[in-house]
Amino acid sequence: MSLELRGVHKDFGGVEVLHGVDLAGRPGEVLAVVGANGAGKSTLIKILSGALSMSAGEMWMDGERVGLRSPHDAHARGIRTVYQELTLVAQLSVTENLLMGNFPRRAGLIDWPAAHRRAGELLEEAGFGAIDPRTLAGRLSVARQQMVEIAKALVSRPRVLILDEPSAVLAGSDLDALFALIRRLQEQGVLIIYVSHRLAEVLDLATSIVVIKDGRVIETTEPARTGEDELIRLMAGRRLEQIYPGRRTERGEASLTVTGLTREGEFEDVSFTLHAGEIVGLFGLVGSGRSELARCVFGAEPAGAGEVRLPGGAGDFRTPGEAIAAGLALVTEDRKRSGLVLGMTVRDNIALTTLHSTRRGPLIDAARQRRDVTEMIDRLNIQPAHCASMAVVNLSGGNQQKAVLAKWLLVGPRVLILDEPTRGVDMATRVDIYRMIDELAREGLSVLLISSDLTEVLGATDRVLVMNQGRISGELRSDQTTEDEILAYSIGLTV
Amino acid sequence: MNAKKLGILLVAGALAAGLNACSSASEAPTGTTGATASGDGSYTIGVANFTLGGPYFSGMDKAIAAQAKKKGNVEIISTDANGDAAKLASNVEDLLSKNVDAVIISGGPLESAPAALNSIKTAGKPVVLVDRKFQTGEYTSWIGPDNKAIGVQDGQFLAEKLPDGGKVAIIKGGPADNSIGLARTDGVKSVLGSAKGITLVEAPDFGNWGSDGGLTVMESLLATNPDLAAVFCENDAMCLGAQRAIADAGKAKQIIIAGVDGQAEALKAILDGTNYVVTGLNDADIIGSLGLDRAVEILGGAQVEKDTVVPSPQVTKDNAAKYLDPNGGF
Amino acid sequence: MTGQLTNTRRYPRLVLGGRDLTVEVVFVTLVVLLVAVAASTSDTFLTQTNLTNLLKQMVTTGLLAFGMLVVILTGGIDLSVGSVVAFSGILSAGLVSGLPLPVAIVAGLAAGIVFGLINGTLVARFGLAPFVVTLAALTTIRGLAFVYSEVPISPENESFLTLGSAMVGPIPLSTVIMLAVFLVGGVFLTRTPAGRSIVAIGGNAETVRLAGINVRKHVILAYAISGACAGLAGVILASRVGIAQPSVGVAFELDAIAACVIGGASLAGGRGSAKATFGGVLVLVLINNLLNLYGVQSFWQQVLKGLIIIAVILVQRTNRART
Repeated sequence: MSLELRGVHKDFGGVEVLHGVDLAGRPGEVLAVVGANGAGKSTLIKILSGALSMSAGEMWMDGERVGLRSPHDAHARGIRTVYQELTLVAQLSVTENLLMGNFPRRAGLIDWPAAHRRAGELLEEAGFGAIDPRTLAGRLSVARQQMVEIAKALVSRPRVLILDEPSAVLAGSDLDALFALIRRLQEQGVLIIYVSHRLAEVLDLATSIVVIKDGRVIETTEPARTGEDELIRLMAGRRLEQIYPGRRTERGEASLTVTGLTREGEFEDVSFTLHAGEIVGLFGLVGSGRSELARCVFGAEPAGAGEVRLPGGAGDFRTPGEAIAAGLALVTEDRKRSGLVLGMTVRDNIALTTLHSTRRGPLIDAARQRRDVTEMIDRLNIQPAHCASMAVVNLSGGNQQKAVLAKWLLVGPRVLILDEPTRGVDMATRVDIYRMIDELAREGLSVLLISSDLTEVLGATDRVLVMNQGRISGELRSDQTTEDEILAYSIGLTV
Repeated sequence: MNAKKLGILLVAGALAAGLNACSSASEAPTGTTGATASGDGSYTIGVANFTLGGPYFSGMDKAIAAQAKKKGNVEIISTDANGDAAKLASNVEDLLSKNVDAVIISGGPLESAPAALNSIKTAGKPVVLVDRKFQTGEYTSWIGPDNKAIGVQDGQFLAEKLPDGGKVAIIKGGPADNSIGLARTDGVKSVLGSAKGITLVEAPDFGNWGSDGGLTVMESLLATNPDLAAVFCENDAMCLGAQRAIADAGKAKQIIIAGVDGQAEALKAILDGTNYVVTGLNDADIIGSLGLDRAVEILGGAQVEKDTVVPSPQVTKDNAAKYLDPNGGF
Repeated sequence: MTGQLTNTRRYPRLVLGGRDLTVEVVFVTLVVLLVAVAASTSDTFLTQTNLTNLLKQMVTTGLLAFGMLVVILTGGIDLSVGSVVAFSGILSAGLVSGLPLPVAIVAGLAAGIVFGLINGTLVARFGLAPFVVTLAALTTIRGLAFVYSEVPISPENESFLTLGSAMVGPIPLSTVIMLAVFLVGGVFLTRTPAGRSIVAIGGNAETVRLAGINVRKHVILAYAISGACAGLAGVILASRVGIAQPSVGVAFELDAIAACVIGGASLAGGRGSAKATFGGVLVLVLINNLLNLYGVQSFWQQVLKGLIIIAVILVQRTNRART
């Protein structure tokens, strides 16, 4: 089946993330979609799979204009998507996950032997015959679960198969099996839309390659006409936006030293040092272990091995409370999940870190708390200005992020770790946040800025640590490197 | 910090002391192991209690065990269904699979227990019902009170005490289909309903058979009917709560109280000459021990009476001393 | 509250005079309406006897509801309160014959706290589900009450009765104690670091943990408070009735939960206030009282209670969909 997108726009609450994307694929094609984090790939996939509706634009299938209202709608039209996130029910067997709702029956009851046989055939067909359909899905390795996900998508014989980073967790013979499967499906006339960071396999598999950047298709090409270097250059691109304050590093004493920090399955042997007055970027793709590293340094997760030290001897924090007491602050990646208490007011949220220290006798010193919070709202320019008693959930994304920052600035940290502080934040607020970080560094704070936005990590920092698969793969000076170079380190290449 | 620790220690100590006191006072009746039917004149009898969650029923269970001990050659296996009819049936099955010689069922407020009775019938064992006579199903023998007669007794006593008539309140235990309560209330109504000058007031809310419920229901009654002359409760526990409410309202001289069961505190109140004037003795000890005797007689091959009503003597100030057993459980 | 998928379903809104109806408005209206109806249609309602009854009858539900609120705020639930009422009541009634009155009362209260600490520790420290832990506690503690005494205990010591029957002017002492608990409790929840932490934990425990607050400690504290309230309620109830029964308090937790829910507390945690919960208690007790005055059978009271809970939850739903 042929599938075409024309001029697709998508905005979230006024922030446009796709600016008119065109895409076309024919039966038997492998259409690879590549782009840096935040380029808009995920949004695009969700629109194709019916999980999101487009703000403007058209979708055509076999010459007919269609509007997908739900994933179910997409299934009915023969579009199946395998996401990066696993959706199997861990407590059910592979058979149950595969056949969910379509069990062979005998005398009204599920015919289990037949069901397991059918599931076995499906896995065999997909080339994953090594998986026992009787196993509970949760017992399988992540790679195997990914394979079951793919087999599950094939049950209904889709005509369009969307694979989002399918190779991220696969390796070796599993990967070979996946590629063989893709080639077979291709021969059967299935249109495959393949999203991946791994450029080598994209060049190997794809019949055509679409490069997306900042919500636009900036290039449509073929493997024969391009190469890894060019793709990286296209993905990274150049942006000349004067949104980052000029940095002049005055590097002070060491403020945080991490040595050989390891947490199994997440990151390994990570060492770095932060200095007073310095902004250090930490770049890595999703899954590279950077957020886990930050949580571990902050005492929110225990480390397996290694050491965290502050001057003066504090370190190896067992709880966030200890880390905070020693002068650390962590603005987490997901503010809804771990940054805010959405049901509470802006004041309650900002005051959360100082709840136990702002008191008078047994009671909270309400006057001081109010003063502190108002000061922070002013200083960070949180809008609307009189929002202290508003529910924090009613603030815009950018202002919510500022509220999280305010909460941490109130404890007067010496080391500030920011995990994706500008994700889902509008440009004006971004500029505010960059200014604030710069100001703090000038006052002598150390800032670790974790980001998957290349321009940000380059523009707002003094130096950049790059992580790849749980290890620090490079350390670069921001004024002497390029986006290409950082991206190359992050996917394990060195240019 | 210290105060907190001290508090915890105190409680721990108190708890320990309390528990010790208890365990020495009451040997758990949950019986003996290894039930074996035997030909040497010794028997194993299973007791299936619908509930032990009330002094009357736990007293009955204890009385059966005590009587068995007295006999010497009878072993008791006691079970508690926690007020669950299905559990009662499965408990009976468990007892039968342990090969007991006979089963005694204390059915509490249960209307019928067809599953339990059927499985006993299938096993060909005799079954003695104590207190509760089931409406359906076959049983070998029943020993229990006549609840309606107790109500009639109370009604007659109240009628005598109120020659000039007056308002009499009725506090029911509930729920609406509890036939024990219904029988008692029917008895009272059958006398007072036709007595001249007497009006009956039924409390809209149930007292749930407990003193706390009796207290609240009585409080509400006193608000709507300040001119009550007497109150009848379907059991003594509720009466004791009601008595407290009446005393709090300062109406102890105005309202007299009639109950059913013969709970120790009620007997004491009657003996002390308070406004608690009468109750009908529903003696769990007697019913329990007679029930055990009956089961043993049946096993011995004797021909026994099918239904035996245990008389429930009226207890007033004049004879309360006789029934008040300072050591008795209930 | 996880924020992964935003619920975009629309629920019908309840609107009054162009504004969305809030829970507060609903139940204040409800209380005013109930009182107005009661006062105008029943001669008895405004009599002193009846008002005193009202005040007395809200004590147990009130105390339990406050404790329950604190636990519900953390996102938990305490099903064991009814059994704690029985245990604490019978423990203090049993001890009072041998020990001085204050010691017996404190013992009852402390027993509640100990049970609460155990519940809280199992929930916070071992990560067990609050529903399961307190369900187990419900049966265990009920059993312990019967182990302590199978028969009701009627304390000889007359002074034991004072707690339940003494009056402070026109108001029963027990009611004064309950009101004090709500007053102090309200301040605790709104003005102390621990209280605010408890509310925040119910909203988002991970955020609170990362803010450097000891989540476990506060969850345990919440259950201990609930236990303390239940213990106090048990002692007061035993003192009021004059007899402590091991069987008392079955299903008391349901009224306590109902009061919290009517007062707008969210069972998911993070939302609810002492003030509103007190309103919930008032509504429950008023319904009960009113229907008793009219001689309405108790089944209808149950029906009405259920309908009111549904109505309140519907209002909450519409409100939440807005955010």
